[in-house]
Amino acid sequence: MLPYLFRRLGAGIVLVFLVTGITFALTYTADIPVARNILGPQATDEQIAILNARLGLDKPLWEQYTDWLGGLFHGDLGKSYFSGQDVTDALTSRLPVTLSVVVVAMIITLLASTALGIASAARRGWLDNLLQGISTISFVFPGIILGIALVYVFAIELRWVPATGYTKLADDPRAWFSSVILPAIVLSIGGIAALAAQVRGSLIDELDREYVRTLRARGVSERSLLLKHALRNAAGPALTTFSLQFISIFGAALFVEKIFALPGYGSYAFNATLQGDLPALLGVTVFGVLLVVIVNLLVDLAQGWLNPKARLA
Amino acid sequence: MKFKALARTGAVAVALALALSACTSDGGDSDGGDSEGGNSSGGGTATLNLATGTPPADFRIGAWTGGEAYLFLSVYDTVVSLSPDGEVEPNIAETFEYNADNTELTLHIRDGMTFTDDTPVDAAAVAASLNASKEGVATSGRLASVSGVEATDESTVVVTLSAPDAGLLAALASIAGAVGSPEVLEDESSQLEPVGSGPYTLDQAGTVVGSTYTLQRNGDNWDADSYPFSTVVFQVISDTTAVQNAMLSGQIDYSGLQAGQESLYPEDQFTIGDGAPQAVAGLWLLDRAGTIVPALADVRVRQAINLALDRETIAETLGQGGVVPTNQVMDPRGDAYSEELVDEQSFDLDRAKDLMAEAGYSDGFSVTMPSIQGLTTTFESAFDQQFGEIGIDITWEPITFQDFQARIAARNYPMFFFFNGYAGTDSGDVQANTSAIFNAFDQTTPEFEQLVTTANAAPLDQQDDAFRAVNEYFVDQAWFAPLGYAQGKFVTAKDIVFTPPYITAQTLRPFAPAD
Repeated sequence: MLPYLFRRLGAGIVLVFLVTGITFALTYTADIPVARNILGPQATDEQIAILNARLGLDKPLWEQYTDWLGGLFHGDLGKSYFSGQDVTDALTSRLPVTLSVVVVAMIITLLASTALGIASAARRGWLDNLLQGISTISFVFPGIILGIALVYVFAIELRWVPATGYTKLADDPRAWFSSVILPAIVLSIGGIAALAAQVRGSLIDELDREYVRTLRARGVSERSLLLKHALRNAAGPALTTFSLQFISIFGAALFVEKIFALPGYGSYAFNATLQGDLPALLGVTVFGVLLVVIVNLLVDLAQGWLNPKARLA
Repeated sequence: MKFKALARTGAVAVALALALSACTSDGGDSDGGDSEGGNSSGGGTATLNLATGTPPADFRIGAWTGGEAYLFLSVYDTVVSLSPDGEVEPNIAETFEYNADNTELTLHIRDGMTFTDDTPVDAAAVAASLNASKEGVATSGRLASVSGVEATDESTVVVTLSAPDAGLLAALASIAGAVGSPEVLEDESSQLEPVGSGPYTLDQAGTVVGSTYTLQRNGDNWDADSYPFSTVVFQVISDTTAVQNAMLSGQIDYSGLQAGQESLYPEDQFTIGDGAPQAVAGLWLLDRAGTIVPALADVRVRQAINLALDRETIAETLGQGGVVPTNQVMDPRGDAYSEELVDEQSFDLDRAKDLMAEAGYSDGFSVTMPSIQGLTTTFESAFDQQFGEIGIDITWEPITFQDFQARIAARNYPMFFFFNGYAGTDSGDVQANTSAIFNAFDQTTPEFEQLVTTANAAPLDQQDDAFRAVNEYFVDQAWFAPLGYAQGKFVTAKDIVFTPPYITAQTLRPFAPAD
């Protein structure tokens, strides 16, 4: 088990170097005029040259990258060109915001899609058709429209939740929940449809298998048959879809955080990309790659727990 | 059984609605209370909630490069300040005077002021900050005329100029005139933990860098009574729809208003008003030597461009009430702006065609201009149609806003359409329209240099006429083809009063509780 874990983490670290190297090269070749954008339209060429030198942007590409790598080895991701804030501090303060929204969205996705998938597979008939129709609509329905509609109804008209901003869980759990629930619903809509379809399909396959007929013949109750046996066996493919949903939702948080003005990882990544804020962008990349590696690892471990055959593989 | 399934579904929906409704007491927080995220009124203890589009980058003196200067100039006092009418007023400098030839400014520092670290605000501290601003990457341009700053005694600072600069006092009322504690002036900690003597202090506990900035009133500030809010919370919201939602849901108390959006805000909950003119929109005709487009070297062609521009129609149809037509780049509130010039080069297609023919361009010419989504795109078809009438064929080259300034500075375009914010003074407007990207081809003339030198050196009571002469030269030589100026609008919550200042987003003095 341990060698497997080390191997996966080692691959993750190699991935960090590869992806950051590519990000660095792409950003460099994009040639975003960072100093000019920081100083504004009234800046003179001399002021821009001074700021470029101060930020180290006048150095050759390889030197900038090795400087950054040197910092990385010491746990220093550098400072944002635009905010002056330490990138590690920025990301560690922003990641909980995004994870709050993403985790709540994943819980909603998991509960809703499992319920819909089970109901569709077990009942079939009109309920199946209805739920599949709802799933299809939610799959194609743009989340941004839903976000605007939810903000209008619950934040502006009813004033039940804030339209923008974030409250820390530790500061006020109820305010925290109200600040993340709308973005989480927006993020979960597409995922619910995809995962419900996966759960439904896998469950139908399982329910048609011989062991189910055998268990049914032995008098095992339908509820036990469905939830204890078929669902567990159907969970493997659904779990893979679930992990993909996590990555997808994590990526979509980028836009949702902008709509709801959440100070999260996504809005940080969005601004860093637009501004060409290289230290911030590379920090985002490192954190993002590590997060994806860890989530995939956890899903693989969960797969092994659910299905012992997967452990051997 | 089916009923049970439906009932369960209904129960889930009800549970979700209850979960959302459970947020009510904390969520909107819009009807009172001085907690974060809500607004309130009541003088000394009230909280003002504002949004800022760009998080501040660096609070060090000379390094501020954020968007609105609210935050910076709340923490730091400036040497002088600007009144709502744009007049220079005392601030740290209780009195000030120029020598006879305007090359030496003497500042007399107010007694008894201290920074929030208890260091005295004396002449040495002022001189140290001004020297830092003079070297500062964000402010050196505004203090370019300053050749020396010296504290001659404990309460006197002498600023020596290499040449008279009519914009110096306005610069000393801006971020370039901010004064910070000399104890931490060079310290990196000032980047995010500034120490000034301004009306507010940056509350580190209530601040999340890049997201929320909280100010607490500094009761020791000499002018603390002009700042009635005890707490001011800035939320960083870069998305305009999110700003609108925050305003509508009561999370922020004030916002600029885009033209045509007035109807979104119910009259019983919000106050809508006219702000100050903010920026001039128009075409900067950069290539006046004809390097890329030879035709632009001919003043008759530049005048024809102005004559072909139907400003009234464009402002009416595309400006949605937010653009006032003008043919001048100078601030309409300034003394250099001339009502007599307004009819000069007003829409006259026949005259435009005649001038093009006289210049030898009766068949017109082609020109490439940068196209930026959401900024120029609104006006492009109008320009195509109107300039097409005199044979000018425009190719719009799509570029990103991030690349815009660099591509202009690299002389890729002989002319471009943009908005340029008013500087607050006539000298500042002249400088702003003839430097950096607004003069990317480094074009000037001896006549212009002479006019500017004369204006800067003129005694204060004669500067208005002198800068009006510069403005007349701009119009006569058609250096620009202005379209109009953006007349800002604002919206506030009912319990807030906002008095539009001369320059937007400089200080928090314009805000007060309604009661």
